[in-house]
Amino acid sequence: MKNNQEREINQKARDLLNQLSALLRTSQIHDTANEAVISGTDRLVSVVNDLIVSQGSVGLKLRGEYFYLNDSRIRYTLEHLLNFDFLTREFKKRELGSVIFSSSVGHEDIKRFIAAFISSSFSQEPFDSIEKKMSEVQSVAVEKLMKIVETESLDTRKMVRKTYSNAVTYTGDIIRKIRAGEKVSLKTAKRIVASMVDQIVEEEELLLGMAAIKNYDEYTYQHSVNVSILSMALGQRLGLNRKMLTDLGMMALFHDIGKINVPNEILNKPASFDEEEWKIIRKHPFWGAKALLNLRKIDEFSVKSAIIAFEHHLNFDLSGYPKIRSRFELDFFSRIISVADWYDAITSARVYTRNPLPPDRALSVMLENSGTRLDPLILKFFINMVGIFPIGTIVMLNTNELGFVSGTNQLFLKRPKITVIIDRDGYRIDGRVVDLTEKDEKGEYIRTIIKTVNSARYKMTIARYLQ
Amino acid sequence: MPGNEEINQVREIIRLFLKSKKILKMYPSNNPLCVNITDACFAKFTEFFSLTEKLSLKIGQNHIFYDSEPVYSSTGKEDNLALFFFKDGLREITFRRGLSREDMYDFLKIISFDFSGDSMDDDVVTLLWEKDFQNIQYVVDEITIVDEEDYDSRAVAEIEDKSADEVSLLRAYEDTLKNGPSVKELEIASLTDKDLQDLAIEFERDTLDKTGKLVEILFEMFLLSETEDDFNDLTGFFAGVVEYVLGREEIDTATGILLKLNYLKDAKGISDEIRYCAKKILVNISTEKIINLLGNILDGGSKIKDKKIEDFIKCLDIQAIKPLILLLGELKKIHSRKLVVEMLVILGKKNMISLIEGLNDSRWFVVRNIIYVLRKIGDRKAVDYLLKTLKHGDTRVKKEVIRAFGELGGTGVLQSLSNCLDDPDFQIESAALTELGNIGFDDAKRIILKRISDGDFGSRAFEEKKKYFEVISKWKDKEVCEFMADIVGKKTFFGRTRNYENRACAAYSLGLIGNREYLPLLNNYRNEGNRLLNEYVTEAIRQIEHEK
Repeated sequence: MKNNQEREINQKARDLLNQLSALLRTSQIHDTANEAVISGTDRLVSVVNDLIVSQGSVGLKLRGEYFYLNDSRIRYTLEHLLNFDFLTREFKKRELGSVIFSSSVGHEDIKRFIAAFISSSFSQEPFDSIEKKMSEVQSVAVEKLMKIVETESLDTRKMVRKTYSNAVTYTGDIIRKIRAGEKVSLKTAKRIVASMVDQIVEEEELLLGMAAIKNYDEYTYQHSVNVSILSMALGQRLGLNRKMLTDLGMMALFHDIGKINVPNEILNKPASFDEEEWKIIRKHPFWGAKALLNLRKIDEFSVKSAIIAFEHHLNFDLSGYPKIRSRFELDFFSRIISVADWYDAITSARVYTRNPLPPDRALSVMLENSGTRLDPLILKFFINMVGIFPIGTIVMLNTNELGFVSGTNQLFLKRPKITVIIDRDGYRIDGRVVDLTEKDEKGEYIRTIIKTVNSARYKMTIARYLQ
Repeated sequence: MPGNEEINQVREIIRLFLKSKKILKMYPSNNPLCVNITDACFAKFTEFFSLTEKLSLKIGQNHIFYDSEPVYSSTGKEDNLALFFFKDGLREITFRRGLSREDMYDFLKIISFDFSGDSMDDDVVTLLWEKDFQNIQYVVDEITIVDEEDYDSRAVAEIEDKSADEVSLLRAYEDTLKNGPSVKELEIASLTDKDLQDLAIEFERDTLDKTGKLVEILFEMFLLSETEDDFNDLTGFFAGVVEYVLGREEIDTATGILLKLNYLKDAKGISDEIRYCAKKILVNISTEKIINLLGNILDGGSKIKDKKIEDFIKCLDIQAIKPLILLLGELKKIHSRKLVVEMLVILGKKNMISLIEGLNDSRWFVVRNIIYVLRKIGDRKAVDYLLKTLKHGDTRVKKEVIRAFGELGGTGVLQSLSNCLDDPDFQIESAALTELGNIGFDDAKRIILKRISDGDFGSRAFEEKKKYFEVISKWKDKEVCEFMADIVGKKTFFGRTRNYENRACAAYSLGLIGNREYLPLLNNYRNEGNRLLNEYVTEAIRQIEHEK
């Protein structure tokens, strides 16, 4: 009986999130008089009031990556993924933690909440803006977002950087250990990947920012960590749970382990490879699978990781390398990691290209290979995740300001957040963040991206701004 | 500041943690001790949460604090709860009201783990993370997990060293402003319901077991192998995977691997090296370790059908014979032993010598089973080895050897069977007699006739004598009939009782032979005056007439 009740409440809670998400999306495009907005508001009113009848009051709370209804976690399935994902981001962006409907709500109450919610995105203090506007509405209250782990004393950027550097250090360490034939424990890898999963959920943009820094000396280690981050971020968009994200992150961290057998003089060769060198490079998936199967007794980890190490350079159409004789379908994780690997590789000045592409051009190249070398479905999710201008892209704005993309916007893909590093007069400044969705009094966008810059050509790095 | 009562309650909770650590390590979850300690912990927390919202413990190396009050202290290295948490980087654990009994048990289970083993891929933090408790939160110091502490600042400094100076940055700005290409609009298609449906299909497929996929890859790797090192590694990997799948009772996958290796071992158009290595891998898979895993399946109440197990064993190399014999001695279930015996018949045909070694096993039932296998294989070469086994101390083994002799025949057999007729154990004698009859050679007949003709034959027990006459009747020839006729008609003054017995046996034998020519003779002795003789003569006549 209790289970049935719980299921019913959970279903209603999902309806609430879906209706709220749909209404916010519609309201961001249309004005309040629009028929779709009116009917969406009515539906939300109905769902909220229905819940109030059975629950007394309705507290919708965001904690970490989950929504809770009156302290019970709202479980959701794949079909709700996009709406949940959208809502999580919109709440976080506004530092909105809870919406509490304490008594029966009317059409006007919801309308005011939606208006407060949307307009807050242009405010420097979005939560304060919502709270102020909602203070006059009796039946709806809001609370600020709280972090799960109380880390007020810790600087988030520092934590993200620490996690990233732990990952790079560990990858280097593990490569040295495998080379020396030493025993390797996965305990540390698990810890690091678990931290990265938490940060992907909590501070995705900061971690993606770390992956956008290209440190040439540590490329091999850094590449593995970047691919791990990009894969987990993509995995999150694809709806993988924490356990699956950890698996994916671990697999990605080890995907290139076969390079331990590639001589350093080839890996670090400043010029292009000759045929013989390519022959050696192309063996690394085979060597990788071998290394992972030799690492420990066959178990779930070695099975999965060896598959991925072997397949990560096999294309979606099974071209690529190693050349295989039978036809089989590539593993789901292999295809995810392959997309992440492509992106990081072609945006870095290393093995596969001596001329790294700016992120936006890289996406263009990847799209050209959609359906042949890359899985079209996964690529579509990836591009929707990173946006037209992925984090780290150096851009010139129509205001003659130069900056780099430091935050994406899921709704307006062409309008990310930019950290400006050179102002409109050509002076270097210390990173001021601007939102490209910001409009002037005439309703025109204040800034728009007009050009992208090849950062490698000018040895530009975003590292100092991420400290 | 918390009051004394509160602090005492926290201390009591810590004491229960320590107690559960020991109990849960030793007993399964359904053991009453585990249930009781979990209940006690849960009850204590429930009581505590009636006073306050949360219980937050700060972790030091040798101390645990509750709101700056020490609630636990230990300087030991073993069984130090503070150190147990501290060494993995845990610095704070907070339990909140709403903590369920299930979560309580899971938490206690985590702290009862023995993390000291090298093979452990987890520590207390990874397990807490995986559980994702709603009402247990923790703070971790990640600095402890890697050796190099200053990588990040060093790396950033290095990048900055190599990155653009002010001048080139401004040059980039100028160049882009003047000549930089305009943004090429990238069309991004929005995600649709169809994308989500396709994704759901991917998820479903991804839940399938991946071992089969790894097997496909191992074969690709095998065919891509170039060096001895590669081949050696692959040999180990295949054995490892077979071990892994048998451990999970996925016998079809294991059989699939063996079938493919058997194909490669004999395939045309494939390099000698590959063929040789396929054979080597098969040998490497046919080991005691693998066979023992098979034993676990056989005796473990698995629902795997016999046919599947047979298919697997049939694909093994002959190297599997020895471990299968060893397994035969270990298996508890008769059905499992029967299955292994049947499989040994199949494998033993390929290499009987390995099987023969099983005759030296110390366990009588193993030896008997091996003799059975040799009988089923039907190769007369086995006789030479079985002759030695005839000296085995166990009657059951000897009887099985005699049976094998009867079935296999051959030159050395008759003398051995003849010798067995002297065995003081009539079971052995009787078995040898039966097999002499089964062999049916004239030489065998003579051995039996000679025994019956021996002077002391008459002094044997009636049933023993009867057995001889029963066996000799299998020949049905003139010589035997006349031999019997002579005995039936034989009269003596001394030892008449025994003579009546012999005559009765001979009449019995004639009855079994069924030759009508001897009906008049038998009718002559129908009323001889001895009850036993009369009975057997009458029965023989009835039998011969019935034959008609």
